[in-house]
Amino acid sequence: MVEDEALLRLRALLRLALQSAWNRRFTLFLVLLSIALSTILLVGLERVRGQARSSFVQAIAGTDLVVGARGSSIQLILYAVFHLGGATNNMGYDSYKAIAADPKVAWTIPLSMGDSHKGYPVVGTDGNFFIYFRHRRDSALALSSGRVFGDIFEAVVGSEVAQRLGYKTGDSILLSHGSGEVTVLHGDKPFTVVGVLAPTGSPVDRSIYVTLESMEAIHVDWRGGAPIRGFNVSADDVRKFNLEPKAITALLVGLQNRRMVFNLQREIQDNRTEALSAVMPGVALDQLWGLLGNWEKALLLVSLLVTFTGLAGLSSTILAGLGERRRELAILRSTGAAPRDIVCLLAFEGLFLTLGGLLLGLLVLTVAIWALAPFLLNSYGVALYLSAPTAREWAILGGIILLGSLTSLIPAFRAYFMSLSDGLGPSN
Amino acid sequence: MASEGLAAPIPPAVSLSGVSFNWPSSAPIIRDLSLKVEKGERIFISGPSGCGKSTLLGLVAGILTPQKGEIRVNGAPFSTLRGSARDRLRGDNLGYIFQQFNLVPYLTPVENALLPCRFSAVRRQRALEDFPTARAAAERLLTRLSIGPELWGRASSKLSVGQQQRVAAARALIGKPFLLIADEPTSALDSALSLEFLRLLAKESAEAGASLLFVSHDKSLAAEFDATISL
Repeated sequence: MVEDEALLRLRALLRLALQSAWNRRFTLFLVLLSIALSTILLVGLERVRGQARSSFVQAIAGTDLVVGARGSSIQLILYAVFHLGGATNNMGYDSYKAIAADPKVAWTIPLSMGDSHKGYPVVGTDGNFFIYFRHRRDSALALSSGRVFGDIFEAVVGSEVAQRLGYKTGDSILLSHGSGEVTVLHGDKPFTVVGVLAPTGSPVDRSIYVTLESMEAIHVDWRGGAPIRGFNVSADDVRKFNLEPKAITALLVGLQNRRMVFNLQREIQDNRTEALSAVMPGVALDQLWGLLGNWEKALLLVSLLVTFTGLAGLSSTILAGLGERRRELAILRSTGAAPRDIVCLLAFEGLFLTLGGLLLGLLVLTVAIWALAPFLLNSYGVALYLSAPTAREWAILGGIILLGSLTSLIPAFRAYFMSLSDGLGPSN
Repeated sequence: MASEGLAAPIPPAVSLSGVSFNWPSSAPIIRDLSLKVEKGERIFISGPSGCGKSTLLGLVAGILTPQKGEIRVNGAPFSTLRGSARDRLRGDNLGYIFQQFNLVPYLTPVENALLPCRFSAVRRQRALEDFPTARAAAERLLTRLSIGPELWGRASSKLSVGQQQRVAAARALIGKPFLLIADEPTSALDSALSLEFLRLLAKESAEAGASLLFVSHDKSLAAEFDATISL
């Protein structure tokens, strides 16, 4: 009975708080917006941070070592796996064959890059790519239509390339030399699309895959990045040439036994015939996070400041409204509301605003991720996806609610003391 | 009548004995005041501004605490109760009508009239003795005070001053409080409306069995009351 009574009273107060807030909705909407903005910044930052990391990690889930010409390990990883940034030097084909023959090595995926098609990177590789490459922890690649390449001048395209450019199996495409602003068409040697890959949410979606021999074939009549003047080999004649490449850009290596990774890494690094880097993807990514860490901290600080500003706005808006609401609160007091009911009323208002802002922020964030995800994947190789909040995000949401509730206690207690001293009316 | 003699004597609705009150650092505005308001009695309080009418109402409503003397409401020692107990006693037993702007603007007339039942279980119980729901009680009271169904869902701020005061009266009367305190409720009404409002209020408070403490500077209304106190 006593519990029923308390519950009834609570319900009446919640209703009153809602009705009162609705009555002042235009003022309060601005407060709601500022809390929504705080939520978008804090949760958005966390989501981008978390999902960017996991999408990077997942994109090279099964690879134990990435090998390339000696240089920066971060640059090698970004270029070899995410097709971001400029090319490092090539590594020799012989070195690749030597590593592939090592008994510790289970599989290798050679990668040859530098060409593009309408802004999408073209990657020369071999059949191992379709067998051993892993994304999203342990998913192998799958074809949504067609087959893998078998011959030169056959191409397999990623799902996004196919979707954006409207490609299907049987279509003919021309590749361009280079991947920047200025490219030159390999106009005399068209490729045929023989397969389309299923979506992976990784850089694979926006790449075009051809055989290493195809890469060699379109470059036999080129030297130093430009066609050789007066020397033109037709697409049919090129088959008479030795199309075994002399170099590749990078090599993904999977081991028989992961514990051997340091041994193999040392052997490759110590190779006397060629200066090579062998990079463990996890280590390189950790270095990358280390570089980005300070930026993350700066962004977090700004987001926190915005949140505090938003909550201070919440508190001060409710405080400022108290002056006009003295009459209303006095009437409630005269009809039997205790001072603690007035505290509840104002605390509820703060809670509603915080929760409302939170929901609005999450809604906007969801729509934004949904709308911007393709762009982010395209431009930055970051795969964002809609998902339930993570533990860290719940903690952030809980923190905002807690801080919002605490700050709304400031006007609540101001109203408490006001209603004690005002009695039943400011005029009395 | 005979059985009443055997039962305990009915306590007065309000009794003040030797009450003195002064605002901080000023002379006592009420000095050694004793008075009794019996159940159902209608008292008219008049006097010039600043004579302590509002202070007296504040004391009776338990908003102010006297420096000396004791105030009892329905036999309970109101002036010596703790704040929360006093709030409860006030919510259960007192109806209050202000000079004007009585209504919570964002609530409809019916919701305004229901407020005491939302805060006080006693008021709600008493309303449910006569009506199936508290809302039905509010609607009945509003109808009796000439606030028809066409006004029930309207924003309270859209009502005329006279209508607002009648909704305030319905709110003060719902759940049969012992005591109705009206602080110059007719000052915003013209004299014809004043008298009409007062008569409605008197009739309904008699119906509810409530005593009425009515403060006004308009002495012409005094004839409608059982007794007059001049401060």
